[in-house]
Amino acid sequence: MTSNLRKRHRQEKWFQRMGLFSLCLALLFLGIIFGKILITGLPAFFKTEIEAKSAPQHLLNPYAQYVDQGKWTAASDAVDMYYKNGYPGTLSPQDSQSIEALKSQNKIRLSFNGAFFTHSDSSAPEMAGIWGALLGSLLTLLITFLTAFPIGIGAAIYLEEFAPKNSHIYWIEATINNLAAVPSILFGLLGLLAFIHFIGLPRPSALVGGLTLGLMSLPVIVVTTRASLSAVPFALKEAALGLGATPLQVLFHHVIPSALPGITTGVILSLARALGETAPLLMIGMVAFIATPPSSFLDPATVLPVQIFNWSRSPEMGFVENTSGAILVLLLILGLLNGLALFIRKKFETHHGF
Amino acid sequence: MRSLWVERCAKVFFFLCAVGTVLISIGIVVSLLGETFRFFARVSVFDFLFGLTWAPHTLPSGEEVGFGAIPLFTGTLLITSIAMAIALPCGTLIAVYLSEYARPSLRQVFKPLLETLAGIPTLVYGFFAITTLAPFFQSLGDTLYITLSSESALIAGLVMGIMILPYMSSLCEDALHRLPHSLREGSVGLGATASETILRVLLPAAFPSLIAAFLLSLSRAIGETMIVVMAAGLAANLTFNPLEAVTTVTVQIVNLLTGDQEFDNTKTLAAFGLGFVLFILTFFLNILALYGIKRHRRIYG
Repeated sequence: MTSNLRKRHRQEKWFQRMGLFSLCLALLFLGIIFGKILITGLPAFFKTEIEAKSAPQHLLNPYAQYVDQGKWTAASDAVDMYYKNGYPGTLSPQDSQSIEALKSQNKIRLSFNGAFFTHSDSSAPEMAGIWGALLGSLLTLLITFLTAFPIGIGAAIYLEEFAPKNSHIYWIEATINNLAAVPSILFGLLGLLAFIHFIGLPRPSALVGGLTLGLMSLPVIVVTTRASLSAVPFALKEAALGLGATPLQVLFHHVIPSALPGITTGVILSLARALGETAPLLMIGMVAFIATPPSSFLDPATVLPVQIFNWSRSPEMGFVENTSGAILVLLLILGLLNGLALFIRKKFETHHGF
Repeated sequence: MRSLWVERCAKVFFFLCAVGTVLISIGIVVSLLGETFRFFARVSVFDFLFGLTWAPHTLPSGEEVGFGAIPLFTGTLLITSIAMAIALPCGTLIAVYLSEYARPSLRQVFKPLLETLAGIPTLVYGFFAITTLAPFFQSLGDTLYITLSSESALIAGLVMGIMILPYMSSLCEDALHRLPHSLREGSVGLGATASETILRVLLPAAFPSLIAAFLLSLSRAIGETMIVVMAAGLAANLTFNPLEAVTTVTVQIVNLLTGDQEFDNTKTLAAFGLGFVLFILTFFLNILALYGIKRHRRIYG
């Protein structure tokens, strides 16, 4: 009897440890991933500069002479790599010696790489930046928001508040729920056929990208909005109806204000998902090399994740750093959006205790 | 009377929104189906679904060859199985720990964290796979005298498993947390330990929901694109060896459609054929999963 009990307690302890172990293992893996990206990405925000007069010409960046006129001039890509990582690359031994000499004279330094945020894509890693991609992402998301938000909210309101409970509505619900879990790449295929082949919109534009991502976000917005609408207690609606409010008044004066925190959270999270999406945009041809930031919705544009994908395929060492740097920026934006959603949920959480 | 008119208009607007959302679904089916039929007019269904070689090209005689999709299906199966082999046990255990053992404060920290992690762009995982994991595994393979392809299914599957993990554990945790407290109290009251309660009462009770979580994760893994585009291979190998490079359905869709191609090209049409297969597969998985969740809600709603 006692030995049996001891065995059961031992099993209990092992089971609990296994749970803790797998949690730690998962956290460890995710920690390694983000740590690694942080370590490779942070140098992208800094660039190596040399006192122009004291250095041989070929160590300076060939493009920088047109930009930097001051005392310090950006170093070439190879010098940059050597100074940051000690990776000699194409540098000759004499070059590395002269860099070491510069280092001992304090004539080489790291400074903040503003160009990474203000430049657009370039074939030279040290000149490439994320400005064009950020702008493209912003324009794309704007279109996504403008299309998915009103239609999504409207559909959710209809299904939750006005729809009769019959088998047609059941099928509509099932379809939308299913659509929210369809792989994103298929929305890309639909976007390619519908917007480019059928309507004939210009190919890698923010408009097509935004519409495609809108298709993808729409069902997600419907599902989350419905969840927060259905959490509004029935008593609230009945009270308003009993006082003579029309269904529309009940909706806009009571139900929506009460469900607003949940709806906002859902919309922010689905936009965050659209911001990080790459696959459907590859389908509609947003992979092209685009060096000028878009100035309208119809201009050729690229977005941050696609920019990251393009850089990640470049063989040059400098782009590895840029890729990680851009990933850090993307993760930061996503983190902020998620934090905002969480904050709204916590701050305005309404407890319908009746 | 004006307000009644507004009421009616608003209702019609909301109805049109709902119809519009459904139209997307119909649009996907119709467009994929249309292109797929055009594809099958050139390549026979049998050759596509059961052909063993995937090397799509057109012979000078105008004959279309190499559209056998079996290697793509097995490649997808292999990578997805590796991913689920990691995500299934690990995800369930994490969910059990968070829902049943962890202090409420810990759960309050980890639950939103899991949801945030589930939303991380998969591109990030793909980049990690090619820059860190692939070189690491290759040097490991070299020291063990194992030849390991740098685009091996093992690496892609492993990273995909890590990617799925937060999503899977978040869904499982929801399923366990939604169970009524009386189940736990009843079991513990009869003298069961916590682990016995979990294994013999809670997990069986949450089984439909857990299966749903598994199916939703599976459908996400099958449709996952960026990780495999970056970390898996392009060449179609018919193999189940995880150390070799395989390709997947999604990789080939991206591969066939990137670059400027004519719409009438058979390769472009093939991408839509593959997309249709992907849609049907994930559609059934999702429907099954949603049915499981619904059943669970009906019992413990």
